[in-house]
Amino acid sequence: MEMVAVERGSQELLERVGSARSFDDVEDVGASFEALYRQRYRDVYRYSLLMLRSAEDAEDVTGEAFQRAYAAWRSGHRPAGQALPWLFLITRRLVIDRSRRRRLLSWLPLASLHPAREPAGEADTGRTEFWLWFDRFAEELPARQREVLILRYQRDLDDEHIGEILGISSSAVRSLVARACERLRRNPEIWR
Amino acid sequence: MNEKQTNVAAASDDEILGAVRRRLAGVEPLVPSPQAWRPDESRTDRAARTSIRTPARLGGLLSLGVIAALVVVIVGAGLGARNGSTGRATPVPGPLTTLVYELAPANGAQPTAADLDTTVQIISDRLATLGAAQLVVTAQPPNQVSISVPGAVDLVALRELVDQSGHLEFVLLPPETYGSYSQQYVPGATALPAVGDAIDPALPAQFTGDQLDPARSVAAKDTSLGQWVVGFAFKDAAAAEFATWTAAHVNDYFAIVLDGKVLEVPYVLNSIADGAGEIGGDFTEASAQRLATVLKYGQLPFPLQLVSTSVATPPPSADALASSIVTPTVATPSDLPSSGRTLGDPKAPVTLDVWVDFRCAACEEFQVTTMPQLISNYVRPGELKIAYHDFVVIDGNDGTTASRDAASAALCAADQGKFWAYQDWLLANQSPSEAPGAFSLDRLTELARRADVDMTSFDTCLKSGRHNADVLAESKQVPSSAVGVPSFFIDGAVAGVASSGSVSTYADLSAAIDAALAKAAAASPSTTPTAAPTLMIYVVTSADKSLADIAARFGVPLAQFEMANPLIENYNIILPGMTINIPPPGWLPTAAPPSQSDLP
Repeated sequence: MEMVAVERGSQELLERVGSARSFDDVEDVGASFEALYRQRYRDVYRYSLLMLRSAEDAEDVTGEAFQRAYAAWRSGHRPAGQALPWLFLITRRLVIDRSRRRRLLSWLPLASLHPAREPAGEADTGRTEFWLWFDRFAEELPARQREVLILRYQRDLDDEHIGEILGISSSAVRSLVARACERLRRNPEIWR
Repeated sequence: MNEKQTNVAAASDDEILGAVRRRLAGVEPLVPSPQAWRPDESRTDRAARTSIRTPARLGGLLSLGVIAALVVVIVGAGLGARNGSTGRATPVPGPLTTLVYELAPANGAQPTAADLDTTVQIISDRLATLGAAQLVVTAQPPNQVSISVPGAVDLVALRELVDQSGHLEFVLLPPETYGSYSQQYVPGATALPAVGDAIDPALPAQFTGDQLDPARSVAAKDTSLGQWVVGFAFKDAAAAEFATWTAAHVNDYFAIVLDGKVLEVPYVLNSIADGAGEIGGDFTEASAQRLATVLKYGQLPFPLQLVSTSVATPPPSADALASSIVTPTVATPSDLPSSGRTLGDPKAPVTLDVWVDFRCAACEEFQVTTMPQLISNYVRPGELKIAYHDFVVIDGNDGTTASRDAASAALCAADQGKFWAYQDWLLANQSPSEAPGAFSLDRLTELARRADVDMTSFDTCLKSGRHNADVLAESKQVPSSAVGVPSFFIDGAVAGVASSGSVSTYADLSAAIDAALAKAAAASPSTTPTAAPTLMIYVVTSADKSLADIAARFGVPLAQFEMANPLIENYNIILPGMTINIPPPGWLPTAAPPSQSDLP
């Protein structure tokens, strides 16, 4: 339920944040979006990967997020301010879609819904170690608190931007962070 | 236990968040670099929402890539084909393109002779990569360089190679102004320059292309990213400097700038110890190769400015010539008796003298519209012979000898008994505007080849100008009453005065021929036995309006006309090309008139 409400909020916000700015210079569109893509691809991917915990899903979602962003960009709906929160808004809706579909799928007796958790090869102990830690981190924290921390880690997004992405106020963001810290404080093995 | 819990409880939020942040940084190796941006234009948002994501969409992206690759291949093949045609054994066809560049004074300095030589050397080296063998770069003192390229040439690619000064710079984008990779949200930060933007000239360059090792600049495909990159490496001293500089600016953005335009805006991931790196960004294979070439051969001492571009077109090649020749649509029947330039039975009672200039458009019109009717109605029945004569007039308009040459060539063909076949080809391939170029010696030769003339003797004949004098002499003998070409005479009298005001039509000529025939029949009744009046055949032309018109023209009552043409159902509908029986005076339908299908 909570997810749905958040999504609706973010949709309104998407329209607000991405409110149309008129650009006459159509030629410029492709080039500068491409620059944005190159600059922000890894940020969007990282966020998708941490939210979905599957490299395959993250790749799909990132690709689709940029496709949608491009469609919006071309039709004149561009970020009024920073581009990154705008991209995250788009990405987040896709991430939610994806995890909801996954939840439906999980009722079916399907194996390996979390490809990222498959052993990544003996050599990649670093990767395995990261995912082991992240699983504990994700088990301990509720989805909202986890997401706030992931977004905080993203390129110094401030609370206001995080709030815009999540569709909540910046004080709500701060309270989520505080509650996350409270939980983590009780589980030192996660952050020590 | 208690003590530990106390310590834990004492940990500040910042401490915890900092630790989480460091832990989360462990994800970085798992985050790939972006692939080349390929927007899927065909996809709509709605479609994305309703369709479940499957590998099919990735397939769509892939196929876009394949299409792009195909386009490149096709374009490449096109270039290849064009280059291929320049490389044939035949003399270089196509235009000779000449570009003239000027060394523009820069920074208050004037280019010297040595600078000019250096520039020529660098441009030659750069252009050598184009693979155009006959390309010539020459210095034109005091300050110009000319580039001549024979054949079809990709001027865009050439100019991109030449126009770049090749001035490469590495420019730091100060973090206090532009932010850095680790601190993206600096309040009031200036947006990073995009690829292709002009760099802020106030920013100093930390390194320049002079400090690169020319031998180590190469274009290569980064297989992990699938992108083209240009590898570079600093020379020894600069490499150490570059290492120190990069160590001091980890996470800072810098711009790689070529001739003032931003190529790429990377950030320093960590110190680059060996002074080697890659320039990524927006490269295609071609543009990567171009940059590598420009870097390899160094920077031009002075920027170049294009002064002029000229294209000189040499005579068309043999291939172009051959393909420009058309086959005659109307050919003179080869089964008719002919001798030299006379067509028809030598014993025919009437001779039509035709004076032509092969460049004249009206002569061609006569050949196509009137001549076939004359042949089938008069020449074939043995009543008329047609003799051609040269009347060279158009040369006088433009001072060329094209008409004379054509006539001379026709006489050379006539020497072999091929006059009529050759004149068909001549008239079919004349210039509609009567331009002399249509009858250059090359074309005249090629036309002879097509007309099955024996080439050995024809070549000798034409090249030696054996008949030139004959042609000119004959042109002087034209009857003084001739008004132009073509002119028609029967027994020295002008025949078929143009009723239309331009060229004599078939009707004009046939009337004159009929009169001459009647006169000849009257003059020599003994030699020409009185035959039963026979039907004449008339071929309707587009100038004819109705059957009544035609009947009136031939002086035949319409009733008799209708009797002679029982197969024509509607006398109001006549179409060009229909054949009509013209009953001579006194004709009666005693014998069945020939059916139209029997007519030639």
